Amino acid sequence: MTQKAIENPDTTVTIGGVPADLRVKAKAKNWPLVFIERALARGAPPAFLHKALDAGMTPLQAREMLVSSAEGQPELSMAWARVDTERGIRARPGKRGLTIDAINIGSYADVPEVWPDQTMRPRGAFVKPGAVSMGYTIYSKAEVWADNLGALYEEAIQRRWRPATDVPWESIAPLPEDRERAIGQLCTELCEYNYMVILALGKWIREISYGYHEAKLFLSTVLFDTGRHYEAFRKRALANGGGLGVQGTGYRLVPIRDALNFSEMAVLVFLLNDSFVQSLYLLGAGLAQNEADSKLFSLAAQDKARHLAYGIEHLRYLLEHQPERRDEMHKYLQKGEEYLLKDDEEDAPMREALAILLGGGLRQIGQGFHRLKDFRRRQVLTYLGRLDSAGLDDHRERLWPATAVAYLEPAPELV
Amino acid sequence: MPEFPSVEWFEAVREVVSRDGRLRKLGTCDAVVGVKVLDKAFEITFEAFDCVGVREVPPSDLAKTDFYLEAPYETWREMLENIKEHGKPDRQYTLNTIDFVDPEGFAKSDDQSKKDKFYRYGQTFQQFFNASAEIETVFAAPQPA
Repeated sequence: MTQKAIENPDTTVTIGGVPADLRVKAKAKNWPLVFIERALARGAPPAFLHKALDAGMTPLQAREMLVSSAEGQPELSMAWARVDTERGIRARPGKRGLTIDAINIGSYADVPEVWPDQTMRPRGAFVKPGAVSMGYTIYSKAEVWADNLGALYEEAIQRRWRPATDVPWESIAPLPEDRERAIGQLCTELCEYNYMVILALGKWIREISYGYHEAKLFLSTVLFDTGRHYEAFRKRALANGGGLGVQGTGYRLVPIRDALNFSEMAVLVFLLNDSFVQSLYLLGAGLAQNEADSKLFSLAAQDKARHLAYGIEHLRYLLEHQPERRDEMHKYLQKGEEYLLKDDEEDAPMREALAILLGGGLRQIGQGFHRLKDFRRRQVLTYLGRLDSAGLDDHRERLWPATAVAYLEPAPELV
Repeated sequence: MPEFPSVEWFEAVREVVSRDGRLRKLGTCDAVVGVKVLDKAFEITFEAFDCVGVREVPPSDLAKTDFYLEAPYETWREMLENIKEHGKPDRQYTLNTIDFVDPEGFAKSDDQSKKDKFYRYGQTFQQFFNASAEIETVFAAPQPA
């Protein structure tokens, strides 16, 4: 072909079925000629190919566009687009943005007491016959629900933090050896607890059916939070010339590991143990000797308060909808309290570490133990306060007896 | 220069935190917070990403808040002066530390689930009081209890 012909192609001239102008344009755009030949052979109009080339499409993009075009394609039934799901939904963002609660409108807001579907069908989608069962075991709303789930999920997403950069690690300065060792012991046991929660939640999240996606979503954030706490406290233990301490006795983790239903695990984690762990986070923030510790423990306490808010609302919902399970919840908590006390009695490293921190050093260990007694008492009273908020306001009388004796007696005056 | 404690003072702080969206970066906060200083009581409302209102209330209305902060006047003064000096509190003047070392607690509520909001949104409340470093505060002479 002459240069003149290339510059002014005669569109009527075809070579191998391809109009000359199209051939020239395809060559200029590095499209394989064979693609043009096949597209034309399958009925693609030359005008379409010109437009695709002019628009700068790749051959693959043009092919996808051709395939999705009805022109020259078999008639589509579109039956899938006419299934009986609610349409015309227009969720609107509010002050908090387009939240998970904001899309719970119309029939999509209907969260049934019992979810009948064993598959991965999203709530509100049309049933596909023959979809495989996923082997979930939790189909009861009361077992996992809390009315604040959507709000807590959004909050968890918004208030996330990064231990690597949000904690001012550069502010850490050497501490006296006794206090650094005590911090190391505290961090060791906090790592251990958070690791147990990761294991427990990992096991239970997969048991929850998809009718309650708000629960799955929020609990996934808890899983992430506890992973973050494990990371953050390990970093703290290794950031200031100390190191990890002794593994804890870990009795408190046994009932969590052995829980036979979700609500048993939930009251043990989100009410009993989280209450006690939250007190430790607040102790870490309150007695911080540098900005890094203050920020680290305060940020962790924010997360933990969110987990507690779920625990309280979940128990409240459960007791309202399945009041016959009240006694059962008392028993789970009593069992957890028994193991928690056993931990405290046998875990001398943690007890002594806390006394060092509370007393302000090894020299004031006597005062530290005195303050620890008061600290334990406050831990139990705060825990009972949360149960009151959840509606289990008679647990004060059902507290594990030895726990009541050990913790609720006021600390004697120091002489 | 607004006097602490007064509605004007809390309004001035609210304006500081509202003008550059610094609370938004911390995430949503929904809480009605009471403040009790001397014989005066105030209610600060946080909604979504903002502090949306401040007003003086009768002390008896503090029971209607999620929780209220109460400390001796000198504690408030020391905390705010420390924040003014450094732009943020030294570790012994953070809200969490004041709460922890006071046997009665800084944050008070009859409902533990509501009191937990103090910890749940702790960074937001700390940021609110930190903003007081950007205004000039006149401290009212303490009145006899």
